[in-house]
This record gives sequence, structure tokens and C-alpha cells, in this order.
Amino acid sequence: MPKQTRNLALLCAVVLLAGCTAPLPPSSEGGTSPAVSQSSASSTPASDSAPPQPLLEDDSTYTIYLDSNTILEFDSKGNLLSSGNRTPSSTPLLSDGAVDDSLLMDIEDVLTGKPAYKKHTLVEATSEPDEYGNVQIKRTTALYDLSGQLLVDYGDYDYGFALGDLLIRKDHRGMWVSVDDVPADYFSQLWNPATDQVVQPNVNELQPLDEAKTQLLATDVFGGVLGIVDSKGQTLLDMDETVTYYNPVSWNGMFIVRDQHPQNWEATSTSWLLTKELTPVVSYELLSGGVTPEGTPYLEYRDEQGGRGLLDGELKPLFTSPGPDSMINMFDGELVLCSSPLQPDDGNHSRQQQLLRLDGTPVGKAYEQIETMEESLWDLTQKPQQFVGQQGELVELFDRQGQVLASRTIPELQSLQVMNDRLLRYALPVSEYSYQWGLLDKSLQTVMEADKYTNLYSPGGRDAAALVCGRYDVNGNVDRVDVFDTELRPITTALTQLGTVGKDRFAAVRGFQAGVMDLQGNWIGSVSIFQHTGDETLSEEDYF
Amino acid sequence: MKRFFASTLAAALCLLLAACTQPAPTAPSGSDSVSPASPSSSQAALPIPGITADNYPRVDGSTANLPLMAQVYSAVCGVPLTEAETMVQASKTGPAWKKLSNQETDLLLVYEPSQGVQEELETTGTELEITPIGRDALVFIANKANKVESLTQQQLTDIYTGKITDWSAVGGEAGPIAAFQRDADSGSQTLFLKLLMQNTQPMEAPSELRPGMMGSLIDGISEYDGSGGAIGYSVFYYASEMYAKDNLKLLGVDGIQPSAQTIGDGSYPLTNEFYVVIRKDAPTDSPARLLRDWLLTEAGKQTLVDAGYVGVQ
Repeated sequence: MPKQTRNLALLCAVVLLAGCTAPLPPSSEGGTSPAVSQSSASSTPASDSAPPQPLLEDDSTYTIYLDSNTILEFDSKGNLLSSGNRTPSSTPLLSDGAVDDSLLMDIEDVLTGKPAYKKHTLVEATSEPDEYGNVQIKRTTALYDLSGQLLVDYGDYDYGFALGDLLIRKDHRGMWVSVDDVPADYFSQLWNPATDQVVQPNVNELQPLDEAKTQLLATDVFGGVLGIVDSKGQTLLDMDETVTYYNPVSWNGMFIVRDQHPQNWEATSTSWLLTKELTPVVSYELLSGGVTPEGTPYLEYRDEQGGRGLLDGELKPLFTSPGPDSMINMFDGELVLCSSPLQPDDGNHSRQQQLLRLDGTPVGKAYEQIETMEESLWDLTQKPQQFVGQQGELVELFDRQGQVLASRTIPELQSLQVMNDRLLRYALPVSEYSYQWGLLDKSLQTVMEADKYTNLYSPGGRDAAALVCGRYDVNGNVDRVDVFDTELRPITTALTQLGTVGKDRFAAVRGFQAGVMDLQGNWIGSVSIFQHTGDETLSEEDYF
Repeated sequence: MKRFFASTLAAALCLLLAACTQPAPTAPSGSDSVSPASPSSSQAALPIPGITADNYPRVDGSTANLPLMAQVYSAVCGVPLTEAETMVQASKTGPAWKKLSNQETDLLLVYEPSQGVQEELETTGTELEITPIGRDALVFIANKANKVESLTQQQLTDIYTGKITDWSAVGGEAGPIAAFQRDADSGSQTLFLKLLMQNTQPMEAPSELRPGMMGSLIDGISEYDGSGGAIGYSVFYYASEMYAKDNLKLLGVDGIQPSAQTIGDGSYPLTNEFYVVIRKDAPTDSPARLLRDWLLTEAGKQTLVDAGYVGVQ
């Protein structure tokens, strides 16, 4: 190991260690000195009487931006792991230490999901710019086994998934903006590192066909279906390189594919449903399993006339949409949410949504938008029982029979969304381009006025442990975030930044402290922001 | 650049200070029925007529002045300091000057801008009133185990040009000098070049002696090699207030130890001022001008001292 590298590594380690703090005891009142040093730092949680609650086991990393230049990473106890652009070093793997091990990547075995090899990629600019003067990047990759033994030195290969002892070896020119940019002589193959033999040519991806993963669908760089191989990479079916189908998506034990080469996107195309033996079953202009959860036996189609409908698991017609421009947004097994243009031939403009039964009879009224109130949007075993519809300033809660349970008009209503199974957020205009957000409960009563917060969201969606509300303060000079729990009880106020949000804690910057807070607003662990903010008593024009 | 500052400073220093009378203490705005509890108003607001939390000016500035901003907000609005710390914001030096010029903010507590920013400000035509309010200093840091207590400016220059490489040459125990520097575009490096090196080019520092952040520099000196052979620099307020380390000491320069007293009276040689700045067109009764005027009163100066800064004497 070069002395300079070793010294740098030592210094980095020292700095990282020095930056770590033991978890601070919760403090109800800060009492900090005007300028907080790390050793005297204490938190200032908003909830000054809430005792800390037992915390869940958590090995997550909590990340937060101090500013555009500085990222802090904490463990779940608020111990600082890294700052700046550095990442924490893992256990050195390579005996000579010449390689930055933070850039090592595991190569996963598609059969087991576990690491099978490791690779390290160097990215460097070539000496020649391209025809437009842009810097050309070259990537070279070395292959290692799990013990860190070099198998293949840096070269013009990249490596994809492993299949047992085998590997997908690829052309190193594997990054492109458009599929049209794929080099004409690009190659990929299933390859045996031990014997240096090509087991199957052209293989770029492998997709298991069954739970046992005894059969895998092989595709080329364009997603073209090559055939089926076993777990040893041996041909089970049709590896004759005559590609007809592309972009396979698994559905109900079969595949939805298209017959259009991705580089030939202007050609007309057809979607096919194939069996595992690659035998066509049915075809439509478009087939999709996307309106229902993955693995559920419903298929959406679009025919040549633009009509849409649903097929069941036996491919029998289940539902036909009311018009050629209607779209199916959701299907829960009984009710279909369709959107249709308000006027014929209006294309995608000015649409309305309507819940329909399978026989096409409507459930309730049509609205500009309809959302499910419960969390079970995609859970067919627990069908949504209540829906929220918005039409202009009108908001209505209705059940599966279309019966209106609550109704309210909110003047100047601009937007409405379900936050979770108890709360909806709504927006009112402040000016032409800005809004303030408030909250309604399930009975559509206001529980938070839309007069303060310019931003309001649940990090992590409907299951989020916290509700985040952003606002401007001190006459618009500072933007700050208040955090509430799911019962709308305040957790903390005036965060400068909010980072990773976990189940029972989150990364935050509040005042002059940064760290990890619990859901009572107590610091679990924190450091002074001044330890990690670049000093700038004098600024450099473009730096600060 | 100097003409710009000289003219504005002269205008600023001619201003008389407003008298202070009874204010109307006001809690911070923005509470509603479901908002987290507002900070308790356990701290009485200072008397500044015309300023409340509701019309408190938009204050901006340098990161190093954040604690001062919080102290002032706490004093004026009567909120606990820990809550005031959440109500202040610094865009950093260069952007802060530009924002004031663009009328996005009302008052700065800020260090001197770079020459590029000064030239840019001159093109805007916005006239500013710039008043020195406090003083900071470039300070040199060493391990307490190091027997050297003070260095001359020439010795420091020689260390940073590589002419002096062993502590024995400056009265210390024999051993190599590990001279830490900062990145070229950092604030303290700019100060180092301006106040100490001036027209002399420092030697190239290896990357392990050139950490990206000031806290890392202090950590680096503190932990370096275990021999106490490291030296580095920072600004006085940061090294003594924001990120002090028990095993480090500040070195004297030309026999003068950096302290609030020596920096304030100018006997410490490597000092640099920071300012309170408003736009010249700020009305007489505007909160920005009222707050600026108050900062120049004895009460305002005391607030600066309370925050750990060195006032201009």
C-alpha cells in the first residue's frame, strides 16, 4: 500500500471516528451556548415532556443533506458514519489495498439472490473527445471471487448476474441514452469463468420461470427472447437465436411479449401472451397486467379499434370499457375505475373518472378524480370500502354501492389527495402559482387549515410514521419543516432539513444540530452542524 | 474594491444611532390549533420600537455568523436561544451579499465578499450601508504537546513555503512539521492567503494534509500522528467557539496570543472584520434599519459579545 494512500486512509478513519458521538440522552431544553461545540451539543426537541420510547431494531443508514456540498450519514442510533462525499470503508477485501473497496460491487446469483462474485469498475476519460467535443468515458472492470482473489484483470468486459458458477459477460460499452445507441457489434454471453468457455451466446439477462428456478428465460440486449435454459445454462428450449418476441413480462405463469424490435419503434406491433413453452395463446394490439397487482389473474387489453377490456385468468372476457377512449385505471376484482374524456374525441384532455361494475353499470357519480380511502388499493383480499371523489370544489366520500357518506364544498379547492386511511390533504391557492395545504379527516372535516403550510406529505406513502409539513417563517425568510405523527400530534418543529424517515425515527437538522430523532422529537444522537459545514468567512464566488 | 468599501463604510459610520424605547413583545408567528407548541416566551424581548417577530427583517449572512443571528433574534423577539437557532438561516457569504442587493433579504451579518462578488455588486447600482460590527482573526492551531507557543509571521510563511520543515528551527523539539492547509476555494484558505501569505505562494500540500472541511482540519491536527507535530489554521471564532478541541491550543503570532482582547484592540496581527449591512434606501423606520441601528448600540454590541464574538472597539 503506498504510504500516501495509507496515511490518507488513516486520516480519514481518524476523522470519521472523531466525528462519531455517543447517543445523547434526550433533552427537554437545549441550553446550548451561542455557538455549539460537539462536546456540549444538546438537542432541543419540541415535545418537552415526552419520554423516549423503546426503539425498534434498525440497521438502516440515515442520510441527510446539510447543504448542497455536505451529506451526513448516521446509523440508527445517531452515530455519525460519514460526512461529505466520503463513504464509510468496509472491511478491506483486496490484500494489496490498491483498490478503493467502496467501489466494489457484488455480483448476485440469479438462483440464490446471494453474492457470487465481485467486480470493480474504473471509469476514466479517454484522451480523445467525441465529434461534439464531449469527454469520452471508458469503463474497465476487474472480476474477483468472494475472497478477493482476482479472476480477470481490468479489461473490456462488464459482468451481469451469475448463474451458479457461470456469469453473464457483457461488452463494457453498456451505457446508452437510447436503445438506438446500442453499438452494432455489442456482445453479451453466458460464460464460464473457470473454463473461459461461452455457454450460451447473446444472453444479456436471465429471468426465472418458476419458484424452483429450474428454468430461466434468456433474453438478449434488446430484450429479445432467446429461449429457455436450465440452472446449468443448458438449452431447454429454442436457443436458436431467431428472436421474434421482445420485452417479456411474466404474468400468471406465462409471458406478455411484443413482436416489435425496440429499435424499430415506428412499426406496428402486437402483444402476445406466451406459455412457458413460448407457444402463443392470444394476441391483442396491447396486453398489460398493470391495472391489477402482479401475480393476479387479470389481463387488460386494447384492441385495434382502441377499445379496452379485461380478461380473467382463463382469458375469458370479463369487462369492456364504455368507449374507445376510455382507460382502465384500477380493477379490484369487482369494481373497475375507468377514466373517459368529458367530450368525445377529446383525447386525453378533460377526463373524468367513474367506478363501474363488471357489467358496466356505474357506482356513484363521475368525478374529476376518484381515490380509494383505505390503504388496500391493490389488495384484492381487502377490497376498498370507501372512495373519495372530487369534482371542482365538491368533495364526496362514498361506499362500494355508490352511497354518499359525506359531502363538502371547499371554495377555491385546487387539489385533493388521500394521505392515509384517515386523512386527506387539500390545497387552496395563495397566488397564481403557490398553494397552501391543509388536512381533512375521513368525515371531510377540517383538521388542519390550509393557511400555513406550503408543502405537506407522508414520506413513505400511506404507511408513513410521520406527516411532514413545510412552511416559510420569519417573514418568508426561512423555510422550515414541522413533523407530526399519524394522529396529528406534533413531533418536532422548525427542522431545517429532513432526511431519511424510518419506522420510528428520522434524520433531521434542527437549529445547529444534525442527527437522528425519535418520534417524540428527542435526539437519539446528533452532532453540531458546524463540525461539518465548510467554513466560509470569506467566500469564493462560485463555491459557497 | 477598496473605493467601494471605503465610500460605503464612511457613509455608514456617519449614521447616528436610534434611541431605544419600549417594544411590544410578540411571540413568533405561525401557531395554530394543530401546530407543535410554540417556543415558550420565557425570555423577555429587548426594547426595540418598531420591531416584532411579525415584521422581523429578513436576516442573512455568513455561516460563521449564524450563532450571532440566533442571539440577536432571541434577544429581540424574546424566544429561547435554542428556538431562535431554528429561526435563522445563512445563505453563505457570496450569495448573501447578492440577495441583499437583489432585495431578497433586508440585513446581513456577514464577512467581506470576494473581489468577484464586490465587482458584481458594483454593477447592480444598489447602494449599501456597510458597518463593521465585529472582528475575527486567522489563528494557527497546534497540539498542546507542542512546546512552541508563538511564531512570527515570517516563520509561519517559511513553514508554509517549505523553508522551515522541522520544529527545532522555531524553538520546538526536533521533529517534522506537518503543515495542514485547506482547499484552495475554502474561506479560511482565502484568509490565509490574504492575511499571511499575501503575494507568496504556499507549498503544495498533500491531500492528507488538506481536508475538505474545517472540522476535519481541526480533527486532523488533533489526532495527527500522535506526535503533536501538526500545525494548521482556522478562524478564531470557529476554533474557539464552534469547534474547540481540548488537546489543541492557539499559537501566538509575533508574540501576541489571539484572544477577544487582542483581536478586539487590533494588537493581534492577522485580523479581519465582519459587518452589518443594509441597503442604503432602507427607510428610516424600516425594521432592517432599526435593527441595524440597535446592533450598534451598547445593548446590541453586548449581544454580540454574549454570542462569543469580538466586537469592534
